Order: sequence, then C-alpha cells, then structure tokens
Amino acid sequence: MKKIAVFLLCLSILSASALTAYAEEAEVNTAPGEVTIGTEVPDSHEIIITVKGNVDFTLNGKTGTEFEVERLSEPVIEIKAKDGEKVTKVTLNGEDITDQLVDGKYTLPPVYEDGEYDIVVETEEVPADSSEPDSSTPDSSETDSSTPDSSESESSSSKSDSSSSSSSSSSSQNSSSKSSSQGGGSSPSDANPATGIIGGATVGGGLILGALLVTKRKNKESEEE
Amino acid sequence: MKRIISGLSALAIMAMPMTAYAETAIDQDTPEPKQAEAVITTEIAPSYIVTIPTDTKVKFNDTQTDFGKVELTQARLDPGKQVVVTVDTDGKLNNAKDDTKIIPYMVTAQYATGAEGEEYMPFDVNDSDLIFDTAGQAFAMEIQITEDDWNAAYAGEYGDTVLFNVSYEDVPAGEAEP
Repeated sequence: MKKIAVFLLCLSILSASALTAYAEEAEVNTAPGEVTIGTEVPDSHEIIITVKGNVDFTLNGKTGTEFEVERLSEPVIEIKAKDGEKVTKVTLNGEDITDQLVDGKYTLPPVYEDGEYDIVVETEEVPADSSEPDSSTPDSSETDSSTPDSSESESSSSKSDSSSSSSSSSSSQNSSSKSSSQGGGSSPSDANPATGIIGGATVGGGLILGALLVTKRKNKESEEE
Repeated sequence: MKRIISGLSALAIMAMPMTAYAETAIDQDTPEPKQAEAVITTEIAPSYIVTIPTDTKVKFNDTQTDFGKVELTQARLDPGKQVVVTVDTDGKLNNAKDDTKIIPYMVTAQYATGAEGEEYMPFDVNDSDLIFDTAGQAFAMEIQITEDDWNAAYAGEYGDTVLFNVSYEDVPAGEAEP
C-alpha cells in the first residue's frame, strides 16, 4: 500500500509541474467580465409653491406650500379670488399663464424633479352693481338721467386700477346713448304716455274754448237782435 | 515491486527536459579549432492582467458618471500581439418591474493622457474596441445619460450588465506601433 502511495505521489508531483505551465496559458485565453450598472429613480418629488396675492390656493385640493407629488404627475393648482374680487393676472415663475387658467385651475407640466414654483396673482375688486345691467332699472334712469351716471362715478372712484374705470366708462356710455335716444323723442314709438295726456288735455281745452267762443258769439247776436 | 517503482521513477526523471544540459564532448581528436556551439533556449509564456471597472451605481439625474477605468496592469506579450477589450452593452438601463421602461445610456472611453501630454477624445465603446500593447495603458470610462432621458424616466430601480471581453490578438498587418 505504501508503495502505491509513493508511486501516486511521484505521479502527482510530475503532473503538478505540468499544470503550472498551462496555468499561464490560461491567462491568455479570452476572459469575459461582467459589470452591473444600476440607478434608482424616485417615485415622488417635493415641490414648494409660493403664492403672492390675496387669493385662496390649493394644489390637488390641498392647501399649503410644500407638497409631495408623484413623479411625472401633472398637479392641478386652483386659484380662487376672495369674495368681491376677481383674478386679473397670474404668472408662474415669471411666465404669464392667465390665459391657461380654466375655471381658476391650471395644470402644471409633468414633475420630474424637486422644484420651486413662484405664483403671483393680481386681483381687482368687483363692483357690487356692475354685474346688474343698467337696463334692469329703466324707470329710474328715465325719470332722472343724471342719477345713474353719478352713482356709477361713485363706484368707479372706489376702484383701484384702470380696467375698472374703463368698465365704468363703458356703462356711462350706455347711459349717454340712452339719453340721446330720449332727446330725439319725436318718433311715435318713443311717445311718453304722460306727454300724450298733456297733448290730449290741450286739444280738449281748445275744443272747450272754441265752444265757449261759439256760445259767446251766439249770445252777442241774440242781444243785438 | 521495488524494481518497477524504481524503473518508473527513472523514466520520469529522464523524461524531464534536460536540453540545456546536453553536452558536446571536445577531446584530443576534435579538429582545430576545438570549439562547439551550445544553444540556450527558453520560452516565456505570454501573460497579462486587465483591470476592468467595478459595479457602479449612477446617481439620479447625473448626466456623467465615473465608470472607473480599463487598464492593462501587467503585460508580457509576444511581438506582434495585442490585448483587445470589447465592451458589450445594449445601452439601456431596464426597469426592474417593467422592462418596457428604460433609460438609455452610453459608455464612453477616453485614452489616458499620454506621456507627451497628448489628450484623446472620448468615444462610444460600441463604436471601437480598447486596444493595449503595453503595460500601464488605460482608458477612463464614463456613463452618460442625457437630461431629457432622465426627465422622461419613470420611477423605479434600473439596471443593466456590461460585458468586458478580453482577447489576445495579432496586431493587424500593416498597423503601426502606437
């Protein structure tokens, strides 16, 4: 048994020396190496929204200034003016988006990173009577045409900017056009019933006077006879 | 049995290369000049070690990420031979949950600044192999993802495998030494 072991040992020594030579050869052979590249894209982003202006603001129905939104989502901001006011201009990071507001709502572009948005909202007061048309009170304007003009000038004086004054001037233009149509009241359709009464009374009076004159003449003729 | 073992051992010893020790006898009968040639030979097997980049994590929104380098750190090459490294990549980082969602990327290599201070332009590894013939040569690697591709990427984890194939090749005929 010992002899066999010695023999095998000798063989293994001989074969081991041969293997060393082949190991170097193995280094020359093609050797592929795998490398992994990885990355992670977040599923949400934090956005900070600063709103300047006297308005109520929500993002996706939530109030606040810092929001966490889903990546690539399109958050909807809603801007509501306070009672008695209306939104006249909205800018987002300096860009005018007033025309893109639909019912006070604006959809932000897909969010792909954390960011800050500056929203500036300009508002103006809405006159209490400006929503009611002038034609709703025709009798009062006809009885005294100067009255509605004065009331409008009062309301316009309380307005702050030029757009409001332009609206009041347009309403005064309406009233002035009405007064001009009254001034040319010769047409039958524009006849005032009160004027008709006066006219009727004048005709009736003339008839009565005529009748009186006729009776006076008859009385004088009978006295002379 | 002893004899058999002794015989085999003797044969094994005799089988060992003894070329270098072969002797030529010169004696009084050797004509003048009494000279003999002895040829010394040896064989050095070619060997080399190529270092390739390790696994790399790309930071979100980074358009350029260092991908280490590919370097021929040790080389004992045969004349007319070179080491060629081919980088296989499909250029797509695949979403772990939905492989239809990808982020395109590109691996570039730039030959390291030479001794003369010469600078080389980076190139797409899909367009050209990395060729080495001297130990110490290296290519700086970079992973590039465009801003637009980042912006359009869906949420999730992405990954891809880059395969570096190293081969020992003949220098193409007529190609000048670099």
